[in-house]
Amino acid sequence: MNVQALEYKAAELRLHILRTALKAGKGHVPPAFSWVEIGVALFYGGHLNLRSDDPTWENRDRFILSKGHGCLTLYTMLADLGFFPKTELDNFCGPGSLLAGHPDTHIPGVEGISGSLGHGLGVSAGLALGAKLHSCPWKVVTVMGDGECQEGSVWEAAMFASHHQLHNLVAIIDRNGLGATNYTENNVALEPFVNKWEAFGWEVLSINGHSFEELGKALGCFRQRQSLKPLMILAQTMKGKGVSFMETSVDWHHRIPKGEEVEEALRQLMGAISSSGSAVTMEMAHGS
Amino acid sequence: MAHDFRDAVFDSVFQIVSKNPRTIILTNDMGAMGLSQIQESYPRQVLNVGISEQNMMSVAAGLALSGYVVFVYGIASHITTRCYEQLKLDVCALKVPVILLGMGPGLSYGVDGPTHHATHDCALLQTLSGMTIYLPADGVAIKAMVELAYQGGTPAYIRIDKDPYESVYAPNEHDFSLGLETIQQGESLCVVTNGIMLARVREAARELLEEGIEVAIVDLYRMNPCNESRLWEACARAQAIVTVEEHGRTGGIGSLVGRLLSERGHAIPFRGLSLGDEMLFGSASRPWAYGQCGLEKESLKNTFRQMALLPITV
Repeated sequence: MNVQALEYKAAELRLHILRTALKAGKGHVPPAFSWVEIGVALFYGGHLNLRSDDPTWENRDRFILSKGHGCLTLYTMLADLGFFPKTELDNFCGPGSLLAGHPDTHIPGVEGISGSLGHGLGVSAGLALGAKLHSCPWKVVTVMGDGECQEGSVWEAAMFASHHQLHNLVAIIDRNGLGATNYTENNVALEPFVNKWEAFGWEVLSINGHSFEELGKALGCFRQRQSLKPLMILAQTMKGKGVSFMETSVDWHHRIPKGEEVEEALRQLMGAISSSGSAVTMEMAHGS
Repeated sequence: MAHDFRDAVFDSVFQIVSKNPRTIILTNDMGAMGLSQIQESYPRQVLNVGISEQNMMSVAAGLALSGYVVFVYGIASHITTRCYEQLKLDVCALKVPVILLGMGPGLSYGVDGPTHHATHDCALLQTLSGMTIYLPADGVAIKAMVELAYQGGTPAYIRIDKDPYESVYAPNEHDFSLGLETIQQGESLCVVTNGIMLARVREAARELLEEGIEVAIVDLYRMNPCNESRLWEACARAQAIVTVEEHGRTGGIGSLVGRLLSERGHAIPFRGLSLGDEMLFGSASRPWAYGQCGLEKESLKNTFRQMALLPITV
């Protein structure tokens, strides 16, 4: 997919995410919105080798969503790509539903359980070490939250990954600046974040996490990297991206819009689709 | 003759590592002679991950997901409680072949203080879905349990005592997949025990035989999953039951046997001997702690005698 098609997909997914949450009356919408471009770049941009008709294919890349509360983005992508029927989204958080408020491995395409934070990087490091020891071709990619990095286990895994030169491991931090109730810098400051990861022995790329150009450039190089260091992509993002009153707000972690908020959110998201869709149509009209 | 549990466990693990290159041992900076020998022969299959139990379990899960069978070696209290959530979510929920070799259960490290006491490890781990818990009494048992855990391909915990053991089982005498064994018959009383306590119970029972008290002894060496039908078979005809364990009062074999008797409506005299649930501060050596909790030989004999001579009140 080219950038305009990716932007259209991102806009479309945001609408699906909101509609899924509205139907359930539950869900972490803003933490899902902040990594939509990251997810779309990975799953639609050709950066992950996956097979929706064979989710446990031996040589697939392993993707772990460590910030499990952002699962609505993962669910809508997996459903859209055919890992499970889209109708499952209609039953999100319903009685006995496949799709709970945090992901587990009963869901096709989900490799690890997350929701409690600070697990994904360690499991990913173990996977990457196993792949490295046996020269497996697949890579390991994990998406983490920034608030999650207040967990000590993250830094245990960070030390481990660099010590063992896990160059087949890519971690992407959705640096939206917010925890559940406050800005990370007000709780326990993470900055200087780049320096911390570099000090822990990682190669760090700091990018705009909503820019497909920057995401494409960062992700495009990871299979051919010469460095022995694990790769950290610090993606600067905006929690709630796409709905103005949710963006960077401490009030929107798992709150569900009501009344006029619903109409306004839907209007903004459909507007984004419309503008992205027009661009795609024009592009197609020009034959590129 | 006394033998070392560690030698027995690492002899068995050595055999597995030598046959399967996709077997790996992780440790949180814990050493053992047997482990060093494996490392010398198979350096790529032993990994010291440093003092980081949470990450060790997550890494173990990741390695297992990539196709490895993973043994994790460390002090029992540290590799069970410090990383409990990683065991729950990364290991047990994913049902991966991660085998915990818990060194120094109970009060093996009693004199090292409460940080090193593993007295509620079984209580905690038995609540984890799919975690098999083994409490071996000797080297034959431990060898069989390492092999069973390896073949099982799911999470397991094996308690490895620091004190030496006396042989109970002859090689190939018993099928350890059964979960328990009645190692001696007796009409007066049935004692259910396991691990390091088995030798102590046997010694007490031997001396009581001179008084005409015949004690049946059941080695309940697999706590989870418990083979309840076989345990019931072993207990059903007893006139009284005593459990003896080096574990806290809550969540050990006393709780397990008590629940079994209650659910089956079997109203017979029952007594659970264990360590208390309170944390033991200071230097809790085994002889001292056993004295405090009624687990030393004379106390065991007194309790067995008392229970054997109780009139049946059903």
